[in-house]
Amino acid sequence: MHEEPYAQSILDMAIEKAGDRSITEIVLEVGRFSAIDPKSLEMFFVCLSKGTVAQKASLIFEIVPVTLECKMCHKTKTIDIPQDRPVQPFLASHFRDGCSCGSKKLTVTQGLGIEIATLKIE
Amino acid sequence: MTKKIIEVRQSVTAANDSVAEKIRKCFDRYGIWVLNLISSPGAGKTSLIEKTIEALSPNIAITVIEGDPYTSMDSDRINAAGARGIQINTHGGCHLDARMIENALCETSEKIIDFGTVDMIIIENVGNLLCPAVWDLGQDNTTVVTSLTEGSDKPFKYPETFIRADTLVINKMDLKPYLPPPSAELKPNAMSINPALKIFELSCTNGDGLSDWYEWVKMNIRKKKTGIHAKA
Ligand SMILES: Nc1nc2c(ncn2[C@@H]2O[C@H](COP(=O)(O)OP(=O)(O)OP(=O)(O)O)[C@@H](O)[C@H]2O)c(=O)[nH]1
Ligand SMILES: [Mg+2]
Ligand SMILES: [Zn+2]
Ligand SMILES: [Zn+2]
Repeated sequence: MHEEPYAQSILDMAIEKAGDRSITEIVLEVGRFSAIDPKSLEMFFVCLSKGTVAQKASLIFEIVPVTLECKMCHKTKTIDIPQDRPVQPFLASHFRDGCSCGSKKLTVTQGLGIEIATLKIE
Repeated sequence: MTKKIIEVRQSVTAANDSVAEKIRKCFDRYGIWVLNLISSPGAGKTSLIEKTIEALSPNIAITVIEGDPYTSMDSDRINAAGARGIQINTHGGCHLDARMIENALCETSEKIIDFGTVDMIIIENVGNLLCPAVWDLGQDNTTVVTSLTEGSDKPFKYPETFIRADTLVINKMDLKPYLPPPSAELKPNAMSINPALKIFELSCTNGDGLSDWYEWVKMNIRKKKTGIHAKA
C-alpha cells in the first residue's frame, strides 16, 4: 500500500500538462520489475483526483518488459516473463548465459519504474 | 471540445529526480560522499552506522540523516555514537524523497551543517525493501543491508531494490551456525539478479568483516574528494 506518492505525482504531472482542460485518460507504462500494484495505485488516484481536472480520467496500464543491455557490445535483449510468474529464474538464466559476444556484463536498462506515456484531454 | 493527446514520456519520479540532481550537484561541489542505506526493518542499518562512526571519526566527519516513520530513537543512537544525526520523520510514509533531504539540510545548513566540513553523509532510509530505492536522494552509492535471518529469498521478492543498488551488506553473519543451510543462499541469489553488486558479509555484533567495509567507505570518500580537486 505504498502507491500514494506515485498517484500524487502522476496527478501533479498530469494537471500541469493539461492546464485547465479536463483529462479523460492517462496511459502509464509500468516496468515488469516495478513494485507497483495497479489496483492500489488506481484507488489512491481516484481519492486524490476528486475535484480536479483529472477526476474523470481513467488510468491505462501497459507493462514494459525487462530489457538487458550488454556493457561490452551494447546489444540489447528483451526478456518476456509471464505476469503471473516469478522473475528470478528468467533473469538468472540470462545473466548466467551472458551475451552472444561472450561478455557476462549485462545490466537491466528497461522494466524498472513507472512512466507517464500520454494524456488524453478535452 | 476537441480531444487531444499529449505525449508526456516522463518518469513518474521526474519531479523528485530533478530535486535529487540539484542536491547531488551541491554534494559534488563540496566533495561530500553520500550513501543511501536501504533495508527491511531491523536488518542492522543503525548498527552499521554506529560501527562506522566509531571506526572512522573524528578523522572523517560524518553526518547522518535518519529517516524514521515516527521516532527519534535512531538519531539519538547516532548522537550517542558521536556524530551529528538529523531526524526526518515521515509520519508513516514508507520512504524518503529528495525534497525531504533538501528540507532537512536547508533548515539546518546555516546553523548546524557547514558543508565545507563534512566528508560523508549517510542517509538511513525507512526500513522497507519495496520502494525506497526508486526515490533518488542525490546519493553516490545505494547500499542494501540484509541480514542472514531474513531468509534468502529477499532478492527475488524485491528485485527492483536489488537491481538498483550497487552494494549489498549481509549482516548478522555471527548467527550463521544457528541457521539452516539455505540461509547461505542469500549471496548467490542476490548475485543471480545483479552480478555487479559489491558484497560485504559482516557482523556488527562480533566485528567480523567490518574492516573491508571501512576500507571501501574510506576509498569512496577519498575518491570523492579527489574528484573535486580534479574539477577545480
Ligand atoms: N546477532 C546480531 N544482531 C545484530 C547485528 N547487527 C544488529 N543486530 C541487532 O539487530 C537489531 C536491529 O538492529 P538495528 O541496527 O536497529 O537495525 P535497523 O535496520 O536500523 O532497524 P530499523 O531502523 O528499525 O529498520 C538490534 O537488536 C541489533 O542489536 C549482528 O551483526 N548480529
Ligand atoms: Mg535503524
Ligand atoms: Zn555483448
Ligand atoms: Zn514508499
